Amino acid sequence: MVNIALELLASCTGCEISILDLHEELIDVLEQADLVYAPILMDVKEIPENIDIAIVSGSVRNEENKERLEEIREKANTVIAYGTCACYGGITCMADLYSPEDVSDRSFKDNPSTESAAEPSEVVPKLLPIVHPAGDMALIDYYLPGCPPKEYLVKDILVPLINGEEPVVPKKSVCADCERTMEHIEFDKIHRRVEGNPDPDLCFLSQGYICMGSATLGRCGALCSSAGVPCHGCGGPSLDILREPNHDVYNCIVNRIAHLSKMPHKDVEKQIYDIGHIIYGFVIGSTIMENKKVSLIPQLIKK
Amino acid sequence: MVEIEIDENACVGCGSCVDDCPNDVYEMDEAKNKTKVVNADDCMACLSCHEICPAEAMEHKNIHVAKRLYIDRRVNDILNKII
Repeated sequence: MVNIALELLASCTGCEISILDLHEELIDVLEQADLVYAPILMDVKEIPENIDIAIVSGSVRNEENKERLEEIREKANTVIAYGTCACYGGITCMADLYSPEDVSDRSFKDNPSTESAAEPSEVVPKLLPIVHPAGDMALIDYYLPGCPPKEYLVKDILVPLINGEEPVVPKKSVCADCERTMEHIEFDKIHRRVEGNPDPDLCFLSQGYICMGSATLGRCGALCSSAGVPCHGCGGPSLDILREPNHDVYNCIVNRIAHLSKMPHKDVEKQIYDIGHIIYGFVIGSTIMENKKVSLIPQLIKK
Repeated sequence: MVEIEIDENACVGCGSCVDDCPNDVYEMDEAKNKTKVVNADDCMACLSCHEICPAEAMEHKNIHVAKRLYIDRRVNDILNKII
């Protein structure tokens, strides 16, 4: 039997739910594995010893997250950074666009929907100056990006890992699965995602909508673009972007829109709006993405 | 010699690599609406096609690592661990 632990740090629990989404196949997994610790599903409070595979989701926002991550790293043979938050910071690292004081003031003092109160000083763990992906704070054995990773991936990855084999899964970008046709069409205006009525068969980029698909690790089956929503980049950067030091999500999207529309790069850059949320939304916490020379993340985050 | 493989399931037929390649390595296969390699001998492994391809449809084999840009050791380590 293989002992599996699920730890969640600063996260939305969607990653744990994606493991439950295995449904009947969960029984096949549990035939070979014991779930020994999972705060979201079970009543075990302390991290047990001798964990074979620890699946860690979420980012490190406060001191408690940091302690728990360090403890589970010590007690587990294999640690998987599970989900985009654990790999690159994901949604949770968008808090880096504000200072910790701004964040706690918004929660306790200046929130229009709650009565203003003093910030709690006991029991509540102290916030770290910035949010870190779990992958930047501990030695990780495998990274599995996705928001959350799709359930069939979980099966294709978890089952071989339990059997001690290397998982083989596709690593292409979202465009590889997208059914829309990418065409070179000249235009000079970038639209906001809420504007207009995009053609359902034509690539969003060809219509002037910012779609992160070509810059994003796919294997989601291009769910959003087939439902009429441009890709938000929840899978994290595509591996080509991650690998090349002078290649970044921002310049990838600018280059591609300029290439398809024949707009000058400067015009594209002028029209791209809300870069922190739209372009870097899911990767803003990642040190790899921040350390790229062309990255705009250092200008965006408040330290 | 550089070998270039096109994953036809991934290729979206946008023709960006045909426009972008400085050495005209690619051409559109009009019947299939996919790109095809017509001139692999001229490839200088600049990998600009990798940068422009939205679907990561191409794979270059036998390229000398020194031809590539400096790649961070930590990045490389993480790349090998992504599953």
